Amino acid sequence: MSRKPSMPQVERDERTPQIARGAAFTVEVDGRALSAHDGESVLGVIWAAGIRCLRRTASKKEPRGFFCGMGTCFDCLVQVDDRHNVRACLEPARPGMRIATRAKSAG
Amino acid sequence: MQAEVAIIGGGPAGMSAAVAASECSAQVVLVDEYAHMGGQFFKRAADQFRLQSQQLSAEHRAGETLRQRVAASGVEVLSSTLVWSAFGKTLMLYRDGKSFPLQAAAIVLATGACDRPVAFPGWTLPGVMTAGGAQTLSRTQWVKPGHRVLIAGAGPFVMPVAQQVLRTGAEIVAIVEATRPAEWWRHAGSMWGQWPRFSEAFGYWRNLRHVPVLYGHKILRAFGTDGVEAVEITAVDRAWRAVPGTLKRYEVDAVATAYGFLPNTEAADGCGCELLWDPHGQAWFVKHDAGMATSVPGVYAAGEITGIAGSAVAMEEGRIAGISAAEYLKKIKPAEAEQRRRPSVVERAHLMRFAGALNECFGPRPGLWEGLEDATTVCRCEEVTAGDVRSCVRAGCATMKGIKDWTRAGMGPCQGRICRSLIAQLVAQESSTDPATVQRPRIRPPFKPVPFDAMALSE
Repeated sequence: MSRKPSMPQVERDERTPQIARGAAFTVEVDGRALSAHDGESVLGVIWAAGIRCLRRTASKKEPRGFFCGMGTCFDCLVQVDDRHNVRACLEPARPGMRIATRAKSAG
Repeated sequence: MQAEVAIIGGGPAGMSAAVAASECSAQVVLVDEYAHMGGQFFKRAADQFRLQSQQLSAEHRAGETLRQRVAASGVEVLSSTLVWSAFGKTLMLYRDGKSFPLQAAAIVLATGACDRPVAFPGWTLPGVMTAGGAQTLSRTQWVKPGHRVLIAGAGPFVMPVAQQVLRTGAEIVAIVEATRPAEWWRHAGSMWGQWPRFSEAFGYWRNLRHVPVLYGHKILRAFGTDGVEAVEITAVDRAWRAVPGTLKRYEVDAVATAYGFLPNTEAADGCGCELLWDPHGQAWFVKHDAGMATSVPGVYAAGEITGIAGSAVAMEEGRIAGISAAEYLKKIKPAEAEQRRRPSVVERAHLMRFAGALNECFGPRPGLWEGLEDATTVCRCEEVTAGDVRSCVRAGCATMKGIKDWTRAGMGPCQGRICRSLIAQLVAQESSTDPATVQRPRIRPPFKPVPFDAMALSE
């Protein structure tokens, strides 16, 4: 898309130093502060931090991660601030977001 | 809200349809579930990423060109907006916590496809994902799906996925392809004249030359406790049935599966469009005529929901559908519509030969579903196993509806989008019938979950 005329803030991530990312900020995931960049999805932030279990199933308590990454499977549902059942794969990360996975609770 | 032509889906087909209908002076509203148009094929990192040109995907430029044409055409684009129901040609939309109607005079369905889910022991472990998911994570986020990734599937889609995963710095321990090159030559005749496809394939081959490829193998099971730690693959015969004694094990922390695609037909179902069973794709696609008209007057279809054929075909079909929709609204005369459609009809026919050959060559074979262990989960949401489904069929309940009522399979948040095709295959096996004869479940709104208060308080 069109590049903005002002000098953009560019940040890099130590895991992928070759990539110029958007402005850095932190989000909270299950009480833990994680670094994120403007333009990333909630799933991108979570997966980059090495968090893989997003929920435990109701009866067998099996771990589930994300599966389709395109809004079809609803396996990556998280709570974002006061919004429940948000698809992490489609939700843009924003500064100060409080994100809760369902890794501890059943369901 | 009103539209002369409402387009559902902002991928290659939807964007092309929007431009074409708008060129015929129709007032167009394009509804897209994602934040950025492009669908799956043209998905890209957000603008905040400052990627260098060599970091952009091969299709990046074509995607940007099409997006700019939509932007310049005066089409109204509703992004991050879900179509959750259709009452005649009134679509119910959900956006940002609110639900509202869109009254359309004509509709173009361009809802695309998602990866075909494949069940095997351990497929529910975190780290096992669809190839599309691995591609999204690597291309739009530049995040490694895992440090050691195995990609298993059939067909050319593994190549762009593998290439993008490599670019994030992840290691690909193996590409596991179910077919063998010896099976491909039978289709060489259909490939004649499709030169751009060859140069594309050569580019991938060069970039992936250091990645081990195992032909005639498939994934058998994944192991791990809190996430995938290892996988076993096996050699397969022509029907993709496992050959005993050929197991290989890999330590991995991510697995991507790429066994083809399934069309997203919920909205087509909701509009009352007739679907047809395709034996090569083992899926139901939207029935359409040469002008991309569905069985419902004023409703058109384009792209993967009419048959898995790739983005080039999707764009031609989008143009055809957009022009046909404008003709339906009498924006242009039939003769002019015919003339405008002709180049796309010719090009589509040429491209379809290639797409048809790919589907025949790499389409799923029976071994993909046979031998599923009873303990293996098929419905991820409601934790229903293959054994649960089989016992249901053996007890005399061999319909999708019956299995849903008995086991809850398909009643979770994915509403059966992931498990539906797997269950249909199990039912067919267990009752020794063709999956084509297994009655499809009735699709009811909402097409995807929408908060109840938003539905109740619809404008």
